[in-house]
Parts: sequence; C-alpha cells; structure tokens
Amino acid sequence: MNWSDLPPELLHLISKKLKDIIEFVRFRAVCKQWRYDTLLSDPPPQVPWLVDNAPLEVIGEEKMTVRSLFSDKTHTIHVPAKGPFWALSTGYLLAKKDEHSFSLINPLTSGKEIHLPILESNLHDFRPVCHDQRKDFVVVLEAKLENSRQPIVCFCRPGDETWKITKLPVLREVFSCLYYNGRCLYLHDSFDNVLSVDAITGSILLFLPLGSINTSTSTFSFLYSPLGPIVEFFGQVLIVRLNLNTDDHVYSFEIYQLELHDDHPDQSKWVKTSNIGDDRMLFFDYRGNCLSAKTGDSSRLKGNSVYFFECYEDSSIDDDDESSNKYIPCRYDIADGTIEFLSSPLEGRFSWMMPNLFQLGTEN
Amino acid sequence: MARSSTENMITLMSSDGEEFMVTEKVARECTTIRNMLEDDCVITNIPLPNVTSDILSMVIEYCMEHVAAAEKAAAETAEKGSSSAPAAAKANKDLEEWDKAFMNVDVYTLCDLILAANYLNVSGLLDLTIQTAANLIKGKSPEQIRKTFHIQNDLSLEEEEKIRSQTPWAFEKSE
Repeated sequence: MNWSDLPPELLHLISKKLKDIIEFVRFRAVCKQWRYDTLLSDPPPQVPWLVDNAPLEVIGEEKMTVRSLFSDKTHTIHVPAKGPFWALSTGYLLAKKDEHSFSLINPLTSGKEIHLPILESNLHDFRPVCHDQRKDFVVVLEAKLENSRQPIVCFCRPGDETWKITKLPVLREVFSCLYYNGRCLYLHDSFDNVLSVDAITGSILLFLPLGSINTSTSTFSFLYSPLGPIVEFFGQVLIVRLNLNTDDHVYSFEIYQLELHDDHPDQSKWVKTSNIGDDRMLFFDYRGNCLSAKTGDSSRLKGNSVYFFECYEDSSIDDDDESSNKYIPCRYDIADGTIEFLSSPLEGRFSWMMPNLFQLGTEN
Repeated sequence: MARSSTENMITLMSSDGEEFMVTEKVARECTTIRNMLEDDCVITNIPLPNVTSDILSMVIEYCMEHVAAAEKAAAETAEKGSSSAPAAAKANKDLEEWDKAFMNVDVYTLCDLILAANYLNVSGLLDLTIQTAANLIKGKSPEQIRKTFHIQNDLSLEEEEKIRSQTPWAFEKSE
C-alpha cells in the first residue's frame, strides 16, 4: 500500500493530529489525494497565535507578524486589504475602510475581501462585541450615535443588504459587552448588576445581580474594566475579574460563571469557580477580547489557565504614549494562582488571533 | 490469573495463510474480532484476508503487550487493595517507552500497520500509528514530506501555483 492511497478517513485522522495550522497547509500540498481528501474548512482544532497587533490597528499596515505557541516559529503574513483592523474570534479581520464602510478578510487564505453594506448612521465610537462566531457568523458592533450619544448595537451578516441597528437603554459607561444567544449582556458602571437586553428589540430582559462579586475598582488598564470582561467560554457566560496590586505587580483572576434560569430569571446568579476545565484555556488581550481553546494533547500548553499579557511601561522611553508600553505574554494557573511568563522574541502590542482557513461564501 | 490456563484459544489466519494461536483475551483487543466472537461464540478460527503475516504478528505483539500491562496493573490493585500512584505512573511510562520502540519501523510498515489497526479496530494501535505518521510530517516542507513517505508529486504546476498563492506564508522560511 502506498501512502498516497490511504483511505480518506485515515488521512483525515492524520490531518487532525497536525496541531499547527501551517503543518495542515503543507500536508495538503503533498499530493492530489492528500489535498482533495481533506477540507480546508476542516482543520485540526487550533489554539490562538500571538500577533503583534499594533501595526494592524494603529497604522493599518498590510502585513502582520504572528507566532505559533506550538512551534515557537514566527511568520509574516501579508494582509491583502487596508486597515485599521480588528481581529474577530474566527480569525477574520474586520477592516474599517472609512466612517461608514467595513469589510472582512481572512489574512491566511488570501481570499477575497468581503464588503459589508454601508453603515448609514454616524457613529461616535465603536467596538466589535465579543461573541462566538463559530456558532453564528455575524458582525456585532457596539457604538453610540454621534449626535445623540444614544447607545446602539449594529448587526450584519456577510451578504446582508443593510445593517440592523438596535437602540439600547441609556447606560453611562459600558465596560464590556457580550452577544450571547440573541441577547446583549452589559457590564456597566452601576456595579450591582449585568444588564441583559434583547438584541433585536432593545428591550431590557433581565438584571443579573452581581451578588458576592467584589466590585471595588483597582487601578489597572489592560483589561479596561474593573469588573470584566464578560465573555462566552464553551457555551458558558463568564465574568473574569482581575485583581492587581500595582505596587508589586501581583495578579490574580477571579472567575464567575452565570447560572441562567430562563424559567425563573430571578434565580439566575453568578457562581465563583476555580476550574474552567483541565483542557480548556482562556486567552485575553489587553482590550479584554477573549478567545477560548482546548489544549489538545500538547505538552506546551496547560489547561485551566488564563493566557494574558502583563503590560508595563518601558522606562527607557520618556514618553506618556501608550505605544511605548511593553506586553509580555503570561499564563495564570487558576487552580494554584501561579503565573508563568512565556518567552517571546516578538516585541509589540500583542493580541491573540485564532488561525483559521475557512473562507466565507465557499465550500472549500 | 487463575483462569488464564483454561482460557479459550483463537486461531487467526493471515492473508498469506499463516496461523496465529492467541488467547481470546488478546484477540478481543481487536474490536472487529470481539464483535465476531460476540455474534458467534463458538467461532475459533478467524481468517483475516486483509492482513499479511508480518503485520498480523506485529498487531498481536502489540495486543499481547497491552493485555499483559493491563493484567499486571489489575493484579497489583487486587494485591494492595488500591493501586499506588507512583507505580501506576511508572507502568504507564514503561508502556509508552515500549510503544515508542515498537514504532521504530519503516514508513511502508507504518502504513500497513495503520490499515491493519483500522481494519481490526485496535483503537490504541490506530492512535499510536496515526500520531507517529503526524510526527513524521511536522516541521517538514511538502517536498520533504514526499521524500519521507515516498510519494510522487502528482499535483499540476497550476495546482501548486494556486496552493502557494493562497497561503504563501506557509511556504516561506519561518524564524
């Protein structure tokens, strides 16, 4: 028997063991059989790449530097579109073309840029809302209308003719927002509840009291929110609170899981947990964007952990500019509270990006 | 193990006509054979037209080693009332080492072992051989992979060009 004649189901098993997406791409470039018996849209489960985000979001440069946590190798990827960009949970980049137009691009496939419809409203400020796009590929932006400062959410699926815009109850300040099963969950500055809003009608569904969650603010900047962020993690809703002693840089994370009772909403509550799963990892960037992944059988990665960035000011540069800050990737062990610094020769304003090869609008 | 002396023996026959006498317990490591035995409990002679004698003897060697390891662990647990964690960890490590040494085969044998493990449905051996194949792929360029597995490049120039233009980053030298 020849290796190029292996039955598709066995080639599939081999391809699923290639944890680094670059190995999967190379595997598919070996021969016809290996290429056509595996689907580009069905790569092995991935873990996020470390990506130098600064050129993407600040300058909108057309190349990005990424680093694999598996191989410790650095790749330079050309992005065939103009930024600034925001990384979405699927690996797609959201590019802002001008005040009213956005497009989507997967930088790994050199696929075509997908233009989203023109957003008619003038937005004061916007940010993509955190959610699991593997379940529902919709772009969700949280923003305020420029003239009235009315908070809104904007939805758009690739191929839609227009954006759908929902007006929300006025909140003073939103720290973190999650789109979850047709609702928007807001962590805001009342500090006593999370607000659940119907994403279609904008009506308030529920106040989820924070209960025993410590809401005292501390002075740190990298997650922006004293309380958050609020994230979706393998179908669960979590609030991940960071405690930081700024004097000696001691970190700890507190994680609360939402027990949502649809039939008895008043019984919904946040429950503190010290185990998010022995093979599960949370990845945060400094803006509070979150990705989830499984360790697979990698010995390099550890489960029940939060991967994040420690940010410190580079004292050699006498500058108040935030871009002089350095980011070191770290792993926090939820069970024992220890922190491990990950080595990285990259220097920059890091983020995580989930590598993916799937292309919207195509089968393979 | 008192009952091992009275255990049923099963004869497995390879595609080239060689016969292998194994205990029923060893034969049951192959899910395909276990299903046959459960359908027809008096069967004692099983022809395996898809597996050569070389490969069948290796599959049997793997199954015997893993049955022996499981029996040893069970005996220790029975003797001490509970298994001691360090001893169990050492036994696991020994078995892993054995697996690793067992996988020291050429790529043709590895390919045949994958097919046999799949046909006979020996999940541990299938996982081991698939992982070994994946390890041989890691860190190599497509050309190096072809060389390792003796595969002819049957992609057209157009196809190769398309692959490289879609994902150029995967074919450039990384640091």
